[in-house]
Amino acid sequence: MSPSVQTSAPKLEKYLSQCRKHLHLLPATEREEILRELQSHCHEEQLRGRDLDNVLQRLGSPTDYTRPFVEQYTDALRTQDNWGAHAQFALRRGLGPALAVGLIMIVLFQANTLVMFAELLTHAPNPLQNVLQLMLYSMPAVVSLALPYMALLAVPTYLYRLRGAEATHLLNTASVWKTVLVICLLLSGLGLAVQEWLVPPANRQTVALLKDMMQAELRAAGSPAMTFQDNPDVRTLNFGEAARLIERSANTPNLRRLRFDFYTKITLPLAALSNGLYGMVTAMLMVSGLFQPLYTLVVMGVLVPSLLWFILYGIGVSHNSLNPLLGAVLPNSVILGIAVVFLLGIWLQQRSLAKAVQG
Amino acid sequence: MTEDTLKKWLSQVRKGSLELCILGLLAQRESYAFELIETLAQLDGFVVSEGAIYPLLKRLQSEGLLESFWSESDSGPPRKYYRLSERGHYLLSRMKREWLHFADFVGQILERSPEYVPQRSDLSAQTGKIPLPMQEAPAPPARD
Repeated sequence: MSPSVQTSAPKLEKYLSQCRKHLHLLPATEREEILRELQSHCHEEQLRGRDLDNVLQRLGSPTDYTRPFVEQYTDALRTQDNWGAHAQFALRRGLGPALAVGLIMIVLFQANTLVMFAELLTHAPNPLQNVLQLMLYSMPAVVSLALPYMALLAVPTYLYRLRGAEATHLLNTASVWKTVLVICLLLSGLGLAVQEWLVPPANRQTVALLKDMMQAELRAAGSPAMTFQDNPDVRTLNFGEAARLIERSANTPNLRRLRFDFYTKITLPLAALSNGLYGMVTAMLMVSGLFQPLYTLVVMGVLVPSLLWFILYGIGVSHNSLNPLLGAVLPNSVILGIAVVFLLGIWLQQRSLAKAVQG
Repeated sequence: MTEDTLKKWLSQVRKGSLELCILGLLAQRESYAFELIETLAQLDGFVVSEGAIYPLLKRLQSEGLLESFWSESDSGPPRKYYRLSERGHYLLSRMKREWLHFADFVGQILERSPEYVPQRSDLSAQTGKIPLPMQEAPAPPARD
């Protein structure tokens, strides 16, 4: 099997590279075979004395030429109940955007952390070292926040790439549901692991570092050292330690806050599940063509649920009369509820259309 | 006007039988796509667009009806040859039976339909292009 043959025509090379770009959804071997056959065709035409420009024009634009191949591939994938193939496809196509959003969140949160503690940092003895340490210690918390977000982006990206002529059939393939479930379970599992093993020690380090920096600042200003109240925070404890803390704190005034933080420690990673279901709604909205797909993904798919989530989280945190468990599950439940309402609507419409066709 | 309708219909008929023609040609001997395009073009007007044939061949291959292999050609880049698989031969025999049955049926309908003699002078100028045998028919109904 020879590698892609070099031709002397730059125009042909350009055409081929554009086709290669449009065929990026296909596995590499299939893609290269299509392109090689195309090259062979152009060569045959030129052998018979036809002008390359003419030939390329007859082939159509790279978009037009590659479209039937892409449709064939996604049609086959969609109708075939092979969830291994789906999972690979989702991984290849959804991973990029998911990682990109994770990276953006990390950058934003780190910037926020640095701004919050800017004053402290300027008075610190080793500012650069402390900055790096602060950034390092806040990474687990940021990652545990970014993981549910990745579900919001990865699921619609995967589904949107899978769409074909009949958009609603996307939800009829069992493999699609299985793949989405696996994506969300993986993200949730990772989130829980991070919450158990990475977040508590990192937060403890952050607290210790901030205390040291505050003492250093006081010393520099000539003030006496501060003694810190031992205020236990669930966010510096793993699940077992936190549960024991709550048992011990039965009659303390901040019991409610402790319990709320404990439940949030669980519901935050599990948000990947409700976000994944919401992601399916985003995908259907993107496919429907009501708004431009990227707009739908960013605004309807990420900004709106994020805003909702944070508002509801705020309500859960601050409403002291609200049961802490209820407060903690409120954001996830609302997102889940919205997703269920939409998907139910789509299912009912499909059923009535199917009945109309039969009857 | 009638010419357009005729052309559209003819193009549809050709599109519908393209798969059958390709399977039939490949059953005779293995061939590469460009050769198939040239063979089909021998029928006046049966111009297959490249945009249609390559995806079709790929689809037939992924359905298991065709097998392909690359072969070095002395005049440049290697060519992708196609040949009929066992399943392809079987499907072709079934399609052949259906096609002949269908053609027979349609033929009978057409045989029984009366011959057309143009009533209007402007239509007769056009019918010069259509190679239909003209016969004297007993009082054909006036058509518009």
